[in-house]
Amino acid sequence: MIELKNVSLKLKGKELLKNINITAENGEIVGLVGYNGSGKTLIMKCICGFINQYTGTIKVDGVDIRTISVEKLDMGIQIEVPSFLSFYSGFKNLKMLAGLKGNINDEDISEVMKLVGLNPDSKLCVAKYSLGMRQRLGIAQALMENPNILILDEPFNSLDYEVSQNIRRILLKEKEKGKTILITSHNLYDIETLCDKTYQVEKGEIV
Amino acid sequence: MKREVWILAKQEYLSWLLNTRNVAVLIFVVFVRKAVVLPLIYMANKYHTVLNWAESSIAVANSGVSVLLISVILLTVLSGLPRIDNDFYNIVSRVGMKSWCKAQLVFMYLAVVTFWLFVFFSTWVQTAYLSYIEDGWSLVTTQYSGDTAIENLLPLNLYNQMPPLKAFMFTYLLMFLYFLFTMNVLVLGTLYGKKNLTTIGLVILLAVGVAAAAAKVKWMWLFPVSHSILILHCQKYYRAQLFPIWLSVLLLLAFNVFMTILIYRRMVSVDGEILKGN
Repeated sequence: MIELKNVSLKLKGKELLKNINITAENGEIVGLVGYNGSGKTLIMKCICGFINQYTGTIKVDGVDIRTISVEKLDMGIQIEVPSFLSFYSGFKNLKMLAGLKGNINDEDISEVMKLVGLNPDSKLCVAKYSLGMRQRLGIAQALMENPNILILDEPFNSLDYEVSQNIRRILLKEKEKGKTILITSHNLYDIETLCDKTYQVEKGEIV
Repeated sequence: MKREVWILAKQEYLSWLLNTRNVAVLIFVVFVRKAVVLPLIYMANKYHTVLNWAESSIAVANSGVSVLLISVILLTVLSGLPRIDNDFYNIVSRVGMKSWCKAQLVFMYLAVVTFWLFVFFSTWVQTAYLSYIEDGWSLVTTQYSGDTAIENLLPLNLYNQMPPLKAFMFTYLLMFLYFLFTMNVLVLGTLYGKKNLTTIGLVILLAVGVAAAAAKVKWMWLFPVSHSILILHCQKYYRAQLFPIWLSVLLLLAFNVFMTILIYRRMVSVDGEILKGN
């Protein structure tokens, strides 16, 4: 469960978020919709603990995230355009990331890559990936350690219709498992067809 | 050290080794060959003599121009440090900010040592076949330097004051401490979200320091780069040093310890967003 109460953020004297209140229950997909630059990604960065200068409270599974370090939050995240080490294959990139926590094996990585429609045996380096493939690899890295909470920033960007449908199915399955999923999009259709609850963000405010 | 710190530092180091930006070191190799190696080999061949094993490596670190070049190349090849692209979020969410910062520091030490060893080996290997291993200056340095660049790179100041082994050890100790100083400042600037500004500041500090050292003005000692050049410390005939070498070592060491403390203090509270310069 994610809970934001009266979250405001000022950086370099500029008020970027104003009085944000959001609740995402377990087994719920919650969407943040808004134009580019409206503050959706900033909200996500605050939830993930990458920004601490906000006022108000953010609780994840009942714990104030200010009292816990980022790596202890059981979250799979994909924020901004997914970026990886370009000279390694997708599998190798995921393996390197997985090695940091060390709680999944090669088979788990292969499985999650297949799930998003990528070939784990391919030697193609990420530099040669299309935007859609990178996006899928980004989603795979968020999913691979089976976290309880998924934070996905514009997960449908650069994906064609079929792949989008597959990702939707994956997210719905994760929701059935009782996971909390927060996604952003500037496309209202993406959000409406998938989310249980939607918040519209405009100029750093929920409207 | 935590397991994930070492794994991440190792990953960063390996990716850095494969970075195409490292081609910049070729500029250094070409410069060294032209400015140091060829004059030494030419004089050795001309007078049918050999060189001391350390002479070329000492010479390369004892001119303002080469120190300027080495430092600019260091800043170029390590400008990606700490690596903060969008992969940053994927990594920090797994290891946390503190471990990420520690890994970047370990990576920095590994990269600085690698570059430092590269400076030595890439120079030494070019004259190794023409060298002897003894602790005495060669005739090329003491007798036959003539009007070549050798006279400026391995001058009286140096060979009158200490044997090559001692000169080599001080040269590379000062250079290493200066490299660390440069990278510590860069990392600290990055932790305050001012990486570009810090890089510009470092280049200005370096250029003014080198110019002051070249002009041999008294205030050159205000610049860290002057402390890193051994010959600036020595006089031609008197053993008394213009600035005590041990004090330069101590100053650079103290700066590095101070910087490391500041870095540690900062990394505990830094925001990921500030690191990205937003």
